[in-house]
Amino acid sequence: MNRYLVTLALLISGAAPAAPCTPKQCNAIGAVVADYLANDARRVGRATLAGTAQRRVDPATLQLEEIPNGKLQPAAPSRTIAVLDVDGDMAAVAVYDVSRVDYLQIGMAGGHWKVINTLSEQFAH
Amino acid sequence: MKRRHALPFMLWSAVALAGPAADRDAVSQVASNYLRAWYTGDGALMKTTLHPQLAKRMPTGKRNAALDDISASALVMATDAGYGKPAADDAKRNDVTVLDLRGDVAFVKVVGDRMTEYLQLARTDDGWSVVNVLFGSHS
Repeated sequence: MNRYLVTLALLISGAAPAAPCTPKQCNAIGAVVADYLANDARRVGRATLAGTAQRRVDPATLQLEEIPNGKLQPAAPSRTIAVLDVDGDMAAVAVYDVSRVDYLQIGMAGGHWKVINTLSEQFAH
Repeated sequence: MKRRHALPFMLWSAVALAGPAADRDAVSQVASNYLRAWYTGDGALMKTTLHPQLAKRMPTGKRNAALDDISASALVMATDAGYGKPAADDAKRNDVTVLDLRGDVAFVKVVGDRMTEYLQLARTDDGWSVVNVLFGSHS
């Protein structure tokens, strides 16, 4: 797990009356998210699958763009990871920093949590 | 967090967390239409909810299988074919929860009779549409 300024915030959504994941699930999901956000191709590769879809919206043009695999701009060191919901083999996670949001769809594959789809937006200051 | 970044971030978070009400309503409507189209076999309605680059996937669980993609056109055809039409005694559950919404992206959970789906929606030139889906049977 990233030992710098990552905060794992377990947000309890309005629909979920209890914590969205068990401590074991939260730890496993947090670890895969930290790998995904690391500026390290080996760790990013460990967190993703060959077909992971990475998209972003350009707020200026409102066009959807594909992010080439492994070319994700590293997140700011001060960021918040929020597990929004977990249901069986699936998890919904959001990563916030001061000017960007990354939404991650995470699922079990080969017995491990993997980032399967992502959608991001970078906001102008 | 550096102090100079803290206040703008907090303000941005507070405003963005809830998302403008109109956007939340629009996102909820697209998600509801997505489920309703599936249940009623309405391919035309389904098409209105999907981005052409849709990626719909299911976790493989313990298997090491490659991801199966369901494209927008395949989902529209499956909808038209009535694969989602429930049996007469099904409850037609249709729960939509906006988990988060920031700017032009949103994360929604929809729960139907048989499946739970996480939808990622984007606002593009054509309005809000479903871009990514992760789905599975109820846990």
